[in-house]
Amino acid sequence: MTYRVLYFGLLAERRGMAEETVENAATTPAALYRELDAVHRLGLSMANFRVAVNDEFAAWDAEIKSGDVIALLPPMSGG
Amino acid sequence: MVEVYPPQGMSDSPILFSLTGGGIDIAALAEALVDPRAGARVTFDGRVRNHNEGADVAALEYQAYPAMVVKVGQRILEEEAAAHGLLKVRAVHRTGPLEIGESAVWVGVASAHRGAAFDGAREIMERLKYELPIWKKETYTDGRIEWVGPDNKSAETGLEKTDMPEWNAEIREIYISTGHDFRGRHGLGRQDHGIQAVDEVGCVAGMGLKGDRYFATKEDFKGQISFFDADVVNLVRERFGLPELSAGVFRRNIIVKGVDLSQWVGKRFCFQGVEFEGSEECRPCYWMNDAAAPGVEEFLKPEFRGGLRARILTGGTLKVTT
Repeated sequence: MTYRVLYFGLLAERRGMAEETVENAATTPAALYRELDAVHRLGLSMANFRVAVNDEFAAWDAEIKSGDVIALLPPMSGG
Repeated sequence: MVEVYPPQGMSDSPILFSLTGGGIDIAALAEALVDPRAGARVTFDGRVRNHNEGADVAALEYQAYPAMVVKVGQRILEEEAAAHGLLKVRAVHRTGPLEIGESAVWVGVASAHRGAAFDGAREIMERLKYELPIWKKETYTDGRIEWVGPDNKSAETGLEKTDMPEWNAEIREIYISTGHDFRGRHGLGRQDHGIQAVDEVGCVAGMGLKGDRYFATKEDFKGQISFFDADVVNLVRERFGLPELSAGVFRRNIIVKGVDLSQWVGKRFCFQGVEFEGSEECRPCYWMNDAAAPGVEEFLKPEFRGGLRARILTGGTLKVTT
């Protein structure tokens, strides 16, 4: 599967980039994040931040498919 | 500069959220709230202040996920307009670099009566802070740069910050076991459930480690997790001539390198984002002679070599350092 992964805030800083294309067998955002975290030591716990699939908030165990855009959204701080 | 999505101010739509990389046109926004049915207009103007958490702020920058911000912002305004019976709503959030004193966010609502206008504006503002995919980065006059969490909570967890000390240590190995080998087996001989080396383990607050024998033993159990010093493993290997001895034979969970475990009894600490409270020394027992080598129990008695038992205060995952 091919995913476009978007990183923001603290996660973009830790990853050292804002987005990348990832080839991965994961079929949920949770599985994908676990692998990215293992490789890049991102360090955030999934219990504490949100994920979006194709510009909409999604559950960590939602089903994702090749071509989806997965955005990792650390705790937000607008205002 | 980020384009304005969609144009601020004058629009026929009664409810409109926008994101802008330029200034906020407050006059135009206020004008868009005019409605002959509205007896009340409440506006909120959130500005960049020159200090935060006791530090002097030199510069501030927002990073946004534009496509989502506009969608989420519009949805919040529509939901709150429906909930409070608001007639007109406008809100704008800035993105990109801002200077001290500039407006960072603006919310305005119009309704028939003041109660709904105050409540609606406040509710919208609170939701925008926590739900808009926007992140704030502050540069302080001392040169520090920091991502800021919501309402100055932790940027990492979104939870209240603690001044809890953080272990600057590595995890060499993690072990869990499904059943007790020694506990309750005095005079009966050990059991042999085996021990499993894992790359990571889930910590559940107040309960223990997922998959481990001590999980949910009892309320406030002191030994929800145990830490053992990697240096002690090496000392035992050298002292007893067992270079191949597995760190798992001690049946402690987390083999750590780089922290003095004796310092943490009765103290709270954070490790890999998980919070713990040290409870007592994990005193060696005679089973150690059986599990490792004769004499190991005595060898582990001094200098806190037995390791540290602790309670888990917040959930999370511990991982072997790679």
